[in-house]
Amino acid sequence: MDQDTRVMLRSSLEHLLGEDSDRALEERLAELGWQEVLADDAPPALQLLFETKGAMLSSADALGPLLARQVAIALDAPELAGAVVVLPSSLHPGDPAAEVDNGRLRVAGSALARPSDGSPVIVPVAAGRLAVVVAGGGLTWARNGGTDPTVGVFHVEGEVKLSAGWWLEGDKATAAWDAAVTAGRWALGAELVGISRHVLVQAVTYAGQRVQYGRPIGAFQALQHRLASAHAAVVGASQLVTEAAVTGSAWAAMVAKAAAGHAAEDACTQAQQVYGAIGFTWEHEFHRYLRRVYVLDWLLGDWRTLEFEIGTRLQTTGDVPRIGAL
Amino acid sequence: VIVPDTYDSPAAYAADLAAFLTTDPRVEPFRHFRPRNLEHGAAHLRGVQRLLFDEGWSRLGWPESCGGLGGDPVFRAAMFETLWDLDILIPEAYTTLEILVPVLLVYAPHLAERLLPSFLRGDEAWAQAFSEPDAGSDLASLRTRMEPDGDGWRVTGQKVWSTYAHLAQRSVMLVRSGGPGHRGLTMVLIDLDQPGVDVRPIRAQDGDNHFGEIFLAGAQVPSDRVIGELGGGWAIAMYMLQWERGAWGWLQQGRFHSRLEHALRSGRVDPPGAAALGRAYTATAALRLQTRQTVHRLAVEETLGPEVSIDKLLLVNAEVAVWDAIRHHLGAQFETDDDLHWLRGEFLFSRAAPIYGGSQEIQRTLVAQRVLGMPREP
Repeated sequence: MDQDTRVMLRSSLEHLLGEDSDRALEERLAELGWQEVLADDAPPALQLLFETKGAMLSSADALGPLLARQVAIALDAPELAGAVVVLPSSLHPGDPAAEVDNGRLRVAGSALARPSDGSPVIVPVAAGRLAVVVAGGGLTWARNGGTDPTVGVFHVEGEVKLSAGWWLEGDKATAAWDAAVTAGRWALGAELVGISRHVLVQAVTYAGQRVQYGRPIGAFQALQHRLASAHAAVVGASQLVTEAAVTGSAWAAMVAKAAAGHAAEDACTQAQQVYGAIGFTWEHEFHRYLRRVYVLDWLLGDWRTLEFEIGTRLQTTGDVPRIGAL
Repeated sequence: VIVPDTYDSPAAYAADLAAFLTTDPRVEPFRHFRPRNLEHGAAHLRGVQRLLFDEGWSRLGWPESCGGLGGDPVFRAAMFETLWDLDILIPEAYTTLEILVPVLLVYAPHLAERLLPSFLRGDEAWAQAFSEPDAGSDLASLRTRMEPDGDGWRVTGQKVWSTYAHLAQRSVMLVRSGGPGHRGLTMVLIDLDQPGVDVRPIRAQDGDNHFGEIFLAGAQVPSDRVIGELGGGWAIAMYMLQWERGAWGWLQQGRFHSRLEHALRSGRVDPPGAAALGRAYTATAALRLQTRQTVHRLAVEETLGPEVSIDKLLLVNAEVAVWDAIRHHLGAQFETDDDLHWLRGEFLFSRAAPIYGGSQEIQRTLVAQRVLGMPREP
């Protein structure tokens, strides 16, 4: 995607995400010609969508549809493209969102949307299996307030009978879920990068305006170094997100999400200190970004879990992959 | 000698180079080679530098005007990667080349053609001399003076922390030709093997003579050895730093990946070290991608400006984290095994990452003021 297209697309996305609308993001994106944009070059377009969404703190659900679309493509099942995906509530990324007991599926997970009755719900089950159930009887959807009440995380719980034909196992199911997690991870990484950049730009602006000891506090080296160091980490994370989006590599996506989550938390820590007391108020926008970072970091594996997982895999395999060819 | 037009991509070149390095018997003495000390390493690795030059591998990516074969500079980055992957130590000269040759090509083409081929081949070693005892981070305050003498110049003063200076025959040096501040500085190429120059090695904390002091008492500099314009030294130093911070980072990430692999060979699972290891790997992967972009941008002669300081900050994060993780992972073996002398040396050298090539503090200040646009201190 060339620079001009990127600028134009970003401006369209900003406009769209800034609208006050009850309609689903997917529907509004369709009017923008989003399908053509994706057909042309999906990874940079999606990366831009999530980055812009992060910077604008939009609470429109883009992740759920992305995960469902990945499963639908991998299984060649277009009817699943609009499904709601149930995510494992556990922090451990490989964990299932359900277990099977006597032909019944016992679900305990999270979702980013509530499906309408009769529509499909995708549930990852242990050992690389996927179940597709129909929303309606059996499952309850309770909307959580949580750290960031604007995100709308639903707690999904209950038992449903498994119907034949909606139970997938083997390589195809594993590949479908891996594809969803991979895309979800780099997309969340992009959103975290978008937030980080916004938070740092705002902190730099504030530090240039706030005067103490007769000079803008941004002239003090202690604050400059905090923000410079955070900025470098965000640039590094952004490189990893781009590479993961372009290659679709599961490993790169895990590394990218770890880097982006870590960098975002660090950017918030440094920005908070630059803001001082004003940034600690309810009125200031800062805490809304901080809350969003925490929730996005948690989804599909927080950075501490992922860094541990990456290190463990390096130790176990003895293989040190080079991400990105020259 | 290889034919430059054979390769349409760095990957194709790297595959052929790897085949050469694994089958040609002349390469054998360099694979898995571990030097006893820095001087032993420098002397031995001159052999691989000559071999790669004579066969053409190291000439690809450098212009013909300096002894190269032409072609995309990205090939040079591919050579470094291939060498690390096959556990062949990269001669220090290659990193010096990456920093000094582009400067000569742009600012002193008349010297490039005459002098660079023997530098590329390893027949001569060059050093870079900027710092002085009283001019480290505050480089523009340096005092080594250059005075007119007949047709040429004479230089008097003292340089320090000049990498591999005691093994070098020539030095690219930043000296004062005019008044105070950065406007009074000039870049020169000075012969170190002449009367009036005394070079003494400095032993670093790892036990090796990584750098040296250069004492100059009226050392001669012929008029054609001025690089760029008189009084234009500061701009050249800044131009040089983008190579030092960018190309160097790419070279180093290859080493970090390779050393992690070496340390993890045992397959031992160590939960207490896993998180730090994951973080070190992540930092190294970020460094790799960031410097890959820099290598490509430098290859098309983009001017990078202050954002290359981001590369250096990512390098510091990666270098320190990788070596901390390796030391922890190897445990007793790291602290006591005499066969790991070389690895301990690299570990101890990593402690200099936040200091060399412009300290971490200088880089952060540059990023804050010149990338993020924060106010300069009054």
